[in-house]
Amino acid sequence: MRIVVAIKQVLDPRGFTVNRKAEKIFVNHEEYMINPADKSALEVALQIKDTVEAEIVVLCGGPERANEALRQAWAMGADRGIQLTDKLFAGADGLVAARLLAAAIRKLGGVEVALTGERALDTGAGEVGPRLAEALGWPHILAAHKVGLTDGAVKAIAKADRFVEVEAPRPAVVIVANGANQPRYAHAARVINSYQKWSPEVWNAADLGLTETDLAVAVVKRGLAFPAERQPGTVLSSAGELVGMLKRQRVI
Amino acid sequence: MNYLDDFHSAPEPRDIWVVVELGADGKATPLSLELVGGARMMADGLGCYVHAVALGTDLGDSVAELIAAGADRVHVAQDPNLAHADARCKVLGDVLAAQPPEVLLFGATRSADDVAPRIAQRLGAGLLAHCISLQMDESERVLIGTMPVYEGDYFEVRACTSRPGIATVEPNAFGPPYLDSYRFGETETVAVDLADLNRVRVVGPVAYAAPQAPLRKAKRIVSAGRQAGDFECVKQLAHLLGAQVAGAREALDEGWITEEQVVGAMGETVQPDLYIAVGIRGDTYHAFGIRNAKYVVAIHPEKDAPILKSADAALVGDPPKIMSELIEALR
Repeated sequence: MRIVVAIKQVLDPRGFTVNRKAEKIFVNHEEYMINPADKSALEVALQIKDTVEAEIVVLCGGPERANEALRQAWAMGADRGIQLTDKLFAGADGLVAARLLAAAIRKLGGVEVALTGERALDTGAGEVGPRLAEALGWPHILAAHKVGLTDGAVKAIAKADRFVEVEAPRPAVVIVANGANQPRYAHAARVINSYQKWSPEVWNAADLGLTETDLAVAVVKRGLAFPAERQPGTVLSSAGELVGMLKRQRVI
Repeated sequence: MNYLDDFHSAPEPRDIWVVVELGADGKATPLSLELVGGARMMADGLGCYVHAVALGTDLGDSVAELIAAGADRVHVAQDPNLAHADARCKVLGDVLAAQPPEVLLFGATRSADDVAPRIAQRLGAGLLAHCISLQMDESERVLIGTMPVYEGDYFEVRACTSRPGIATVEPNAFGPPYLDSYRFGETETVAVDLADLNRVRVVGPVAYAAPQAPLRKAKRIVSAGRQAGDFECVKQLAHLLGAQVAGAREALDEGWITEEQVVGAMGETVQPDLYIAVGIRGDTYHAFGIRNAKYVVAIHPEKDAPILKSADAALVGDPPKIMSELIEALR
């Protein structure tokens, strides 16, 4: 069985500071990491592989640096890594990202389950998973915490307003919730081997059969905005007032 | 673009559509009404109509309410299957593919997380997710939204250049709608065709405890200090808020918490969205531990406790009494 995990490489938030007063972001170390939710999705795939015979293919879009994320995924236990790199992919939004991943999954063929994380740390939209399902015409399960396979279906414990068990016919897209599990550590020898004895495959737009019109983005970044600086607090008189204030400011 | 090109391509995306969510009582949620009100203002600027789509089982008088809030036409689909996200995707997608909107708005809820991206992909459109504010740039006719990134560290402003432009909107982006009960509007019934649907089946609720995040990653923390008085009350409050229990070092001395739950320079550094400090005086060690907390609430009996000055909201008084009032108010 072939399982695909789509991962995203994001800027490590430990490497930059946000200065609200200056309205600027200061990048101290430009370090990238696998988006935490996607890493949880990879862990889910590895757990499935622990129980049944499966091939795990990891897809990562991005420039040259994306190979680092794929090497890390391979070191954790993935079987194949495919880097989707092309000049046309630059600045891809959710629409384009889903088309890319869908094209790659179709090209791979025989994929039973596609896994991805619920929310990316950097954009936080949580749109690529359901979009991918729509692009492939598959059902999807959102916010899955525990995933298992049954005969011809995929079963998951997912969080709606409470935890429910859901079942979708395969092939399906399963979107793993943030913090659903604690991803395993890669074996040190495999980390070294991932750089010395292994390299990811690279697919570009022509390999995927995508043209410039397929890759036209719909969402463009216009700028940054910053939340207000912390104000000195107010002393309230009653608990009811506090609850009202917390609700008004959307803290609870 | 040539005006004639536009004229011949049918159907042309037009009007503002709002996807309405219904509460447990069958009424449109306050967020949905707010969106309809916001869409009305946008539509008045653009010179177009506002459509509301309500998918549910029992709508009752919510249609009148939606028209009062600003909808010109309310599309109604009634089917018990519409409680499921996949059925909603199908029905909504069919309606919107037949009459593509210029702007499509969802409330930023769990249900929209399921539906909005799928609709956006089907229509080949961009999505502005979880907007805290949303405007229509009337000169370019594009949607411009502001949304939190890096878990709310800062915001990004993005423009959705596709037609339709789709957004999911957080509460309070537009403010409460103006309800005009004398407004006139139409109602239309939507055909529900759920054949050839690849069904996601909900088996049923399960008892499952999600793995608890370590304290430094917890989203909400209720923390106790020496003056907290009643630790059971602290635990109850934390349970009610879905928060983790922690404490200052004095709480460890009291035997209320373990070493891993100590917040401060000599313990854990935390960064929750909400930190409630109960009976903690707030020495520099503790202040260092919570310097990255987004919202700090302090409850302390002494008026001159340092934590009251650095907190976002403070209550002075007997902690057990305030906590029980708080628990009462939260219920």
